[in-house]
Amino acid sequence: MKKIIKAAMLFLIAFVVSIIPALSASASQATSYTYTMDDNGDWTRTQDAYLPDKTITELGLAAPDDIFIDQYNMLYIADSGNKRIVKYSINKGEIEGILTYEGMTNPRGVYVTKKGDIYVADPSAKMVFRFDKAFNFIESFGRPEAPSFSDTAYEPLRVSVDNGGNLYIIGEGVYNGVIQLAPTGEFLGYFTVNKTKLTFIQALQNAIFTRAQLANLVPRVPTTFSNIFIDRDNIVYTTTMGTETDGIKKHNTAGGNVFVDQDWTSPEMSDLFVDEQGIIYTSDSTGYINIYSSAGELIFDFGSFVFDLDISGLYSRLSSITVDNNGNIWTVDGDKGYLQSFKPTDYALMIYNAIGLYEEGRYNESLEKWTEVLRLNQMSVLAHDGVGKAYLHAEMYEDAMEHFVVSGNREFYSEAFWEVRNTWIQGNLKYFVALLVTLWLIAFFIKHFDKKRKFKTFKKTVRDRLFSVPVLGDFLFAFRVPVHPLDRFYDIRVKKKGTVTGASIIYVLFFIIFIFNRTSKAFIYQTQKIEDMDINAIVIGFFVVLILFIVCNYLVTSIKDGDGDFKQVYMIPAYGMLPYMVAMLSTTIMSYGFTFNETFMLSIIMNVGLGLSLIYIFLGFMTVHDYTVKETVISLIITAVFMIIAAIVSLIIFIMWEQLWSFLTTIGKEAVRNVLD
Amino acid sequence: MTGSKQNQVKQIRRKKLSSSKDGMRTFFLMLPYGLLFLAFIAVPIAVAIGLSFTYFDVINVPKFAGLSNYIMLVTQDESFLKFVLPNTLKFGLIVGPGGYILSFVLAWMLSQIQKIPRIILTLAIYTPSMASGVFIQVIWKTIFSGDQRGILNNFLMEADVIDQPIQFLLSPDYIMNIMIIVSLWASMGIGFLAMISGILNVNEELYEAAYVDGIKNRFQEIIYITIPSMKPQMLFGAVMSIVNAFNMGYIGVALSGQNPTPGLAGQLITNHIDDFGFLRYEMGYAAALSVVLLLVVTMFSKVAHGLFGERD
Repeated sequence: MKKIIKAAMLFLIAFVVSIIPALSASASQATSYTYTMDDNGDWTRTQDAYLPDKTITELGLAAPDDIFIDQYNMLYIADSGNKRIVKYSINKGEIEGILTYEGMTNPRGVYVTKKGDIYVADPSAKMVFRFDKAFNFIESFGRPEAPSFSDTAYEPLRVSVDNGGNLYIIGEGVYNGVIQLAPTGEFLGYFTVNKTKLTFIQALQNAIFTRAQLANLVPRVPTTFSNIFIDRDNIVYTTTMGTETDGIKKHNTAGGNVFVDQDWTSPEMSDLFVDEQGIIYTSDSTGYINIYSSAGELIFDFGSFVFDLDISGLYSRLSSITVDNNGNIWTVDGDKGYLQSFKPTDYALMIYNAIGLYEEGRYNESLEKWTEVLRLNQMSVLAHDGVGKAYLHAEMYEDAMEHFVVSGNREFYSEAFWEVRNTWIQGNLKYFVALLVTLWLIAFFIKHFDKKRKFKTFKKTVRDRLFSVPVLGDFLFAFRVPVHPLDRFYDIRVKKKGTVTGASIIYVLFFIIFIFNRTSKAFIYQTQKIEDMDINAIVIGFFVVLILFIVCNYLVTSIKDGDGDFKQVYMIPAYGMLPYMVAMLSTTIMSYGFTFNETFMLSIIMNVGLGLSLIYIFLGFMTVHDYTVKETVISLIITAVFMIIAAIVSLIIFIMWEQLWSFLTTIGKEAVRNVLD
Repeated sequence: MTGSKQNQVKQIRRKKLSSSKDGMRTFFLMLPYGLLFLAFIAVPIAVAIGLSFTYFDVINVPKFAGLSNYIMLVTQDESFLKFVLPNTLKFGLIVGPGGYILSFVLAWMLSQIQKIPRIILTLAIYTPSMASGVFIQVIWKTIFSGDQRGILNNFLMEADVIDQPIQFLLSPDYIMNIMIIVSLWASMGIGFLAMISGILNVNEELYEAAYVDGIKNRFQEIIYITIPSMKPQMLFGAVMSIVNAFNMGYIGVALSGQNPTPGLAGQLITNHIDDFGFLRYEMGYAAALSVVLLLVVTMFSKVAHGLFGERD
């Protein structure tokens, strides 16, 4: 992995160096790095997606809070500090008009319909105003009269209007959801609701506290919506503050959220814009701009927070974002009161283009685009995913698999692998059937023509010989335990069978299989990469837990009238572990032939193996210590408690030893210094 | 003296059996059952196996098609390989052994209590398997329903776990697990009754003798006495639960109200047979599927015989 990164970096450097003469001017324009997510969901740098373009400071804005661009590339700014709406022509680069109205005291949200009607949300006036194209006042929407609205606060912060003329209002301090008004101003209800999510402790408090105690706690209110956007197809999008999992919501008509399990959204989400293609541009009040695909996957993240410096592209409070007809991003800084636009780079445009082509079903063309993107950035997870999906549609499954491995898309990898495996099975089915038939025939002949059962006795003698080989036999004894566990553990109890060597071999084998299982499963099931694992912790943890368990169990049972000696206690877990070992080994190997459709087989095998092993170990202790079921359970519980105590005590000793050591070294150093001086 | 007498008896018996008169008697004794077996079991199976090698659409005369149905099954029927086969295996592997173990545990527990409560509880536990169709409509559809009747959804929403009702019965993510739960609940059937009678019939003296020999607890009782003395009932229960597990296909359809089940998530091989046989009228292919089901059930029954059959 590191090698790949290194290689990619080298390639990038070489690439950059080779094109510097041509691009040197634009390469220095970006004021922040652009990030995206790698296949693990970690941030990784990528090429600049947007470059700061125009910085417009001369409009005299004071605390601008919301901006909107209509279809004629006119930018409307809710200039709340100056109690006005500024209409700015992006094409001409000058102010086109200024809207003021006497009732408008704090315009915070602005929305313009296709017809040109301007809606302004004003929390101080507690009104939503509607003006026509020429800035003439048409009507205002005051507090709804409906009884169902009851005493909810009505201080509109943002407003959006759908094609039918219904208003969607985000109110300050409204926890019930988005207020939805009919064109007549009638209250239609709350469009969508954010639910309070209780932490475990809060749920516990709810369950046991009295009403009075609950009243003393900080009230648990749901996270509030921070902004709303309605796209041309009347799909409603909202942003929510204070959540990292569903900051962006794409709503269906019932108000439910279409996005589930999003990777990451900013907890400070302040605004969003969705373009015709469905690309979602969001701003976060700490100064970051995040761009998501229509499926809610993060594409880019750029921008940054800056407090006392004035650098274009960095913000002290990024309050609103929108995109003009040319694809340029426009943002406004609420503190400093200036507009900032960004121009997409070819790289960003290429990615949008490829996504768009894929969504339109033009897979071949999107494949070409994605390949171009890959040429620019070999590590682009999005591009690999796109190429993989295009190959999947083109039924080139093996190529698709390769790309899905890089992009870490296990679900689609599984799909592609299913197809590859299906072709393989169809090709080789005849051999498989032939093999089965031959085996069956052999079994049939042995059964019917071997009258004297020579074959059976031969098998038995071979088995008996193997079992009586000194060390190997001790190990093979484990295979006889699952058949008659009680009898075999009794053999161990009366010291007829089972040795410490045999048990040790099993422990070592178990450890090898355990590591093999953790590190070497097939791509679909290996969710943690080997290089991200802490092998030391696994190794030490494994042996420490095992030894601690054996020692503690021996100590506990020796005072609880257990018959077993230390050797037997050491042997029981080993000889009982075989089912789990077999399950781990077989599932690891089988994972290479399985897709997500058959995952249940693996989990069944693992659960049965683990369950059997636990039962066997339990029976083993019961037999060896000559306990009843109850006594065994009690002894195991005490063992567990004892293990925890032992772990804590050793931790304390370890910490104290470190203290002592540093104390001794300090004394030593002092002594050396004093003696030498 | 005794040895020679026994030999004499044996010889006489052999003579009797081999005589033609007795052969005729046996034949006539077997005839009614034999005819019924032939007419309603052996011939239909033979016909199904025969049909599985043909193309038959119910209207035209079956056309011989060789192995093409079977080849189609393993190569072209993507929904079979992708959903039906894994579903059937998952369902069978969990409901078969799971229901079996549950039956045994419940039977053993019931055998430990007094007679009258035992009879009442046995009836209560046995009822679901008799009338599961009605119960599914009345109980399970109400519990998992996604509309205002849904009890589970109501409970989860009251507890603030979910915001919107989950369409348990129409969602591919849940339908399979619900089917498994319902089938386990309905799996205390005839096998369960057999096991109760088996456990109750174990000779009490055996337990007493075993305690004298050093058995210490109930667990050892079960392993060393109860199970070995009721092997026939165990075998019967095992075969019944295997057959049961592979024939519960109607549950998914009854729960979701659709065939095929949503997203094919609850589609078992019996639904697939229904689908091809009675919705698409591809009888040849449906027959091939039935033969595969027959083979699978036979295979699992063999395993059960290996575990509990009398070895002689």
